[in-house]
Amino acid sequence: MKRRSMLIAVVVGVVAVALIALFVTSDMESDPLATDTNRIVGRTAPAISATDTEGRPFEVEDYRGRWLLVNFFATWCTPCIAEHPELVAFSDAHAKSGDASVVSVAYNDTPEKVVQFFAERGGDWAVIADDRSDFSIEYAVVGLPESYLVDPEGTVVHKFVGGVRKAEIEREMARNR
Amino acid sequence: MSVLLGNAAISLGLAACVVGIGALLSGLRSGKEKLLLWARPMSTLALVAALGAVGVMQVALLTNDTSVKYVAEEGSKTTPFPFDVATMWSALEGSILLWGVLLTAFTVAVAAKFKSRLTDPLVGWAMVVMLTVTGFFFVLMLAVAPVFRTFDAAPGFDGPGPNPLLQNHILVAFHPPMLYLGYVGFTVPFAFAIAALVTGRLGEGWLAETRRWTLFAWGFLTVGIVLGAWWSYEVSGWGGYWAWDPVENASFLPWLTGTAFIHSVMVQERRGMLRVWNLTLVVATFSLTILGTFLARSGVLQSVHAFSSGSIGPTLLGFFAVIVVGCVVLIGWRGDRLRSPGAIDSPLSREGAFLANNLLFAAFAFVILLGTVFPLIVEAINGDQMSVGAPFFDRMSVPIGLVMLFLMAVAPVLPWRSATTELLSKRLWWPAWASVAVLGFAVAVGARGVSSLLGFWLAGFASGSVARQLTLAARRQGWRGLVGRANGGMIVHLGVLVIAVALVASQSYTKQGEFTMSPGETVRVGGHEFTYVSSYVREKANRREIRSRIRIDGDDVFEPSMNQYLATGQMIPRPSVKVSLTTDLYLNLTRAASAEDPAIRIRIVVEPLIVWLWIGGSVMAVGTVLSAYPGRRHRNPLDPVSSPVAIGPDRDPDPESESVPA
Amino acid sequence: MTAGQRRVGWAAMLVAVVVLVLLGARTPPTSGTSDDRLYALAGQMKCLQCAGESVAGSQADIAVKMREEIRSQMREGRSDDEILSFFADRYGQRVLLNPSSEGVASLVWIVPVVAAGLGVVGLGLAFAAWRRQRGDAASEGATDEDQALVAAALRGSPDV
Repeated sequence: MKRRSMLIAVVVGVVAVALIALFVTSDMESDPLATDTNRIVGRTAPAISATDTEGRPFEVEDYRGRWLLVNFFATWCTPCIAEHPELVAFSDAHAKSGDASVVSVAYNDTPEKVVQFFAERGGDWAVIADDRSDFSIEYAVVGLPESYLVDPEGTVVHKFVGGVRKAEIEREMARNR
Repeated sequence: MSVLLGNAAISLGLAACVVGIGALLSGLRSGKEKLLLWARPMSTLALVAALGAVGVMQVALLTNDTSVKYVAEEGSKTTPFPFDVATMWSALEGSILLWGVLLTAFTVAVAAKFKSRLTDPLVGWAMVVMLTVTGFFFVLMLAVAPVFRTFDAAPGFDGPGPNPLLQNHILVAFHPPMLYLGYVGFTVPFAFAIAALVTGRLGEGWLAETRRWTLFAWGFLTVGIVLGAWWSYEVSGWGGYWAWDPVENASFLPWLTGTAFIHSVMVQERRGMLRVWNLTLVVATFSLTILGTFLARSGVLQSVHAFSSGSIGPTLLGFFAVIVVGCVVLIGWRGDRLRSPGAIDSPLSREGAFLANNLLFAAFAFVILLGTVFPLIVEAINGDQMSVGAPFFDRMSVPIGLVMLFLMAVAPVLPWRSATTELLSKRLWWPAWASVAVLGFAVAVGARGVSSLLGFWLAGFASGSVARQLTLAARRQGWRGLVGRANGGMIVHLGVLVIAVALVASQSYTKQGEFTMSPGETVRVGGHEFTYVSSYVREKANRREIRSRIRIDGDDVFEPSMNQYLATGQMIPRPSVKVSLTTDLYLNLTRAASAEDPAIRIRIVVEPLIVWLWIGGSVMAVGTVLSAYPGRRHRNPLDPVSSPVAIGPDRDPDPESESVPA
Repeated sequence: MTAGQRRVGWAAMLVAVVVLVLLGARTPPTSGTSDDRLYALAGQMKCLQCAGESVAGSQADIAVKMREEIRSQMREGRSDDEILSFFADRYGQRVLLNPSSEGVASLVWIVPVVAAGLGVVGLGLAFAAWRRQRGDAASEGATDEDQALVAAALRGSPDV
């Protein structure tokens, strides 16, 4: 009898201590957007077959042999506006050598606003504002902005959550070369 | 000024607790009874201090005194009454203040109730525990989550106001205080349990002392949870009222262990058994209220209801650890005095049913706790990210719920000690036929699905048992047949059954759809017609409402709206519900009309029997009050322990019929 | 009513319940492209942009998009499992609210069942122990002293 109650007390105590230890080791400030479990990185970049805002057909495959940054954005999204100059700088830096390009995919937006956005803020790369097909789900986009770096073989090598910086993109390109 | 006053009040409260604890401890040590009498003035002082702090906070909120950081961050000039009052519990710091003031009120109430027995060491130790917990909350308010901090507001500054979800519905004024009354109320049985362990007076005394306190705490928790579900339903926008969110689960856990305790305590009172188990349940209930607050406020789990989080997590976790470890040690230390003397004769008896009930409730609580923290466990084991959500909890609670319903049907008719199948067959005869009638009715009106039908059938069965018990009691005792623990308890059961039926129906037979509609367009959902008439804008002090007029079945017009809160610019839909006893028609805008585009996007949910959830909750509350008062003035001394089986051939060994006055 | 009649009655009742449940066993179909199916599926997925909401309950952009995607896949005639694994394949297992029954995750299903089983066995053992204990004590019965106590108590009670 005595031994049995001791056993129960020990079991209860151990479970309670384990529970407390679990909470102690868990991250107390978890942000839903901070944990990303997307499984796109490492795979062949999902297809984006669409027509860009200037009426030209667009295929991710056409960019084989070059780096491609697939950028998901919206005109109503403040961090997207903030990151835009970085994208312009990145695109300009690689315009001459032609070894890297950007494609922007609009999210919940209208073509008119998107065209106006680029007219105001610059950027002369392909922009897709097609509201019929949804590429954001193929790319497992959670929040805006998000960007995916596709290497010359057509594999997604990195996902940027939030606003990107030119230096970060260059670093990831160097790392995955 | 407000900050200074507020902090002075909190410091005074803390000082009162510390002095009170000191006086009581030295009184208990030295046996000087005079010192034990300090419990009352000190707890009163703590209450006055806490009320003072609340007063300062309320004045600051009502006058929008932005020199107080809390008011600057959570309040706004434009927040209308009573939401400005409720702002006090719309963020972490203010909720702790609410918790603190309720706790001091309970402490004073205990001191007042036991005023003639303050010199009794049992009461003395209970007061020590109460004051310690109170003191802990004062420390939180002062240092860990300081509620009164200064803020240097620029002229013309106006705060953002509470989270729009917290000013969208009047229930925000009632749900948190009720829930907290429940949480806080469980401190009283906990304090007496600890006192019993420390003094070694582990007889049934402490249980009797706290029976009513426990019952009221449980009642408040019940009402708090039901109001929370109602509020979710009114503001969530998808017709749901319970999402198995971590914070919801955290409030449900102490309710489950508390319910188990309320039942198993009767076994201890009658038979002197299950002492360790009951202590464990009391301690578990109290520590789960603390754990729940930790889960809600630390940000360790993501919740839709965690409107704010702060640095309070580690402190609450530490407090939880102290409670759990302390209680395990105390129970282990007193193990020798906790040996239960009796034995339970038969599984087929009232006490057997209570044991089964406890097993179910404990299992349910375990499942919910496991499911809630499981993603953390997996992450700790192999770093994987996973989720455990509604589908898991739904699937687990169906079998548990069905067995609970079955137990609710059989247990009330079981006598203490042991029953024969013959007795059961006699007593369950009419309840069982009633259940067949209920099942037949359900099938006739079109209810389908095995588990839903089993739910209706067992709910009918259990209602039959309730009806039988109440009819017998009322026939024997008149109106007194509705009061007292057993009879009031049956009314609580009735409330539970009403909720169970409403749950099954609304979970199984909801119809819904989401539509883009232009003015004049009509859609059909679940046999009802919804016509979009027009949209218009209504300006309020703190928000702009874009309302859409929806005509239902060519008759009444309802106006769901999209509310834009001016302070933050956030758009929050405000659903509109056509309520009836059979079906709720729930309308929620997911995209409002605009000047350019009068089309709206609307979610329409047709849910049966929703209103019975709230009615059932009210019945439970009424039943709780009724069961808190003694049913009979004089007890028949033969009642407590009824004889094992029938004595004569014609005699129904029903304890109820035995007590018919000669 | 005799015990025999009752027994027949109970049997009839049992038959009635079984027949009625079987009559109503047919669940309303949630296949095809109905919104009921849509929301049932969406309710099994977590809105990754939100804190603790499902795709069915949330109005966040991602939830709206995912519901649209579910709808279009339903139109293409995909099965529930196909649709769920489409999302899990992209967003990771975390998007599924229903834990998988493989690997470590399966413990969340197994542990409760094992614990409940242990509880039932424990309760059974306790009853068996109590029965033995009672068997030992049963021989004693009520003493004269006990009877006298009961009689005294009854005399003092105003109810009798």
